[in-house]
Amino acid sequence: MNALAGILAFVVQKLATALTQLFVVATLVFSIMYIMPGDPVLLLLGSESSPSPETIAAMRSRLGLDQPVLTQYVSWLTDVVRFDLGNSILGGYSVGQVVADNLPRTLELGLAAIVIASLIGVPVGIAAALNRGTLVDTALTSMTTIGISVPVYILGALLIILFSLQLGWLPSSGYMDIGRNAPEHFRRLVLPAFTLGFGLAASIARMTRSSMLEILNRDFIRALRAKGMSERRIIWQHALRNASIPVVTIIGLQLGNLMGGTVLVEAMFNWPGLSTLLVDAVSSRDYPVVQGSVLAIAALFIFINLAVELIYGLLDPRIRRRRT
Amino acid sequence: MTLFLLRMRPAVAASALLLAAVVAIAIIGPALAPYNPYEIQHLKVNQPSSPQHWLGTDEFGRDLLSRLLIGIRPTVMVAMGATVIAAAFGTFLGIVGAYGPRLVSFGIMRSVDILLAFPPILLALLAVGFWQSGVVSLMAVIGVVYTPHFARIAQSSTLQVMQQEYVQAERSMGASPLRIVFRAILPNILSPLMVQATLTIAAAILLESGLSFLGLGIVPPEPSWGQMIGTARSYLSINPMYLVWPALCLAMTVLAINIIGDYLRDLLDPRLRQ
Repeated sequence: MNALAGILAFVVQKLATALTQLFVVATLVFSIMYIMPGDPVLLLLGSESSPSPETIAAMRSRLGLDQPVLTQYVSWLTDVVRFDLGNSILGGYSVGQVVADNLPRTLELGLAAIVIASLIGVPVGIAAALNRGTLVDTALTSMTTIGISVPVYILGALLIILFSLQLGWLPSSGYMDIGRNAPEHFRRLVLPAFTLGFGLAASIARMTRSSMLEILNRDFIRALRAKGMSERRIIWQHALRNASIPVVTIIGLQLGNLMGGTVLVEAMFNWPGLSTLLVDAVSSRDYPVVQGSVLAIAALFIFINLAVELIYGLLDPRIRRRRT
Repeated sequence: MTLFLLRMRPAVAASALLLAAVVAIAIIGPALAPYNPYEIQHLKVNQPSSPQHWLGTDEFGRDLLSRLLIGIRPTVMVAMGATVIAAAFGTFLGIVGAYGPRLVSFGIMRSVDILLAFPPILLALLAVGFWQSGVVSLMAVIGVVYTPHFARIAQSSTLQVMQQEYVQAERSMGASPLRIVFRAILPNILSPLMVQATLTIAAAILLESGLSFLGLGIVPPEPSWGQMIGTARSYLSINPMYLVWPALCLAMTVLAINIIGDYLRDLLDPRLRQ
């Protein structure tokens, strides 16, 4: 009973934190227009050389900017709670609809990147750990240092040069709807997902290596060896299982970087996700779209973090008991 | 100096030399440029390397080597400026967060936690779009984005240092809070902050070039490496080397800073020195 209450308290507390974060982000997103120097209306009308006072007033009332700030804030928050993100200034379309269209594409890209990163990172880390101190280890570890340092748009460009321009194996950019042409959809996913996942693969490889090395030095491994168990079984069944906990942690911690990476990767490969929406909106100063897409990205981010923390907390009672 | 370099690890020495060259070029770059980096030549568009143009030309026929050389300055200025801003504000907020009244420090540290939860590029994107583009605003935006990182480190180091006997001794002798902060705390939290500063310079370079890559950073015709990479992206099939050169410069610089950062961390942390 006591344990159940503890779990419940933990979940409630984490949920409350996430909701507070969402609220803060919504407030921040609302206040962008006021914090930033310059009048958003003038910025929007910037293409016209000197807009007349009537034009400015008309635009102001169209955007609801002639209302008191508090009224605007309350109506913005109530709209957001009802998933009404307003309409684009330039295109007139519903921001909520565009966000809903683009969100799954960003999720798909991120998920594919995590899968690729794990498929590369874990074996590389194991190989480096098992060959500790040899040339193989040095080569693999240096590769991970480079992998962490190289910016995604450089890696992406090099991959495009190699795999689409030189070898012609994969398309260089663009998106294909999965319903229209599924094989082409996945062919177009490969390069962006690999580009996005490469840095994560390097982090995973480093963590797998150090975690494996630590586990292989433990007494229970020595005991298994003394018992005469085959080295292969020790590594795959016992060491890897114990070494995987910090690896899962690093994947959780790196999700933020991964989300940041999508901004550049989507631009690099013309992938029509949330970040592309945001960058286009920022360039054209279509601020309802900016607000909507930032809110969506932040919400996605907060929920992923929440999920990661809840899973850890439920798996490991020590985390649950720690005061946060 | 030579002896000092020789005693370091080769990779660290090479990185230090490379960074010295980068800073030197940032200062005297325009004098080294073989051509006027803004001069448009329609007859020499997107050329590969040649004896006249060592690294070729861009989509307006401008000399790539010259643009690379003067493109360092905005990047270095933004990175250094942003790091100074972030370090100054962050350290101040962190010390107040550890030393100040409870309510103030609670407010500061909760805000820091919330900001730290978001990827820097997202925060920067939010601000950059509504601000005038250019070196100074990029400095300010990137500086603000990295302020929470310094605040977090300054706060936790201050809390640690405040437990030490010498701080308690100062306090029991009736030293003013200002004296305690400047004489006892600040000198003793400098090393983690310095490591953070090197990491932030690298991160700020990447962030500036990322924003410029997206077309939201340094404004053309002023070049920066990230912006050149972004533009070159459209000319990959015609002139791939246009992209490779700035990419190589950027990757090498960031790698060098990271290597120095690792070295500094080991050097300043006695536990890792073995």
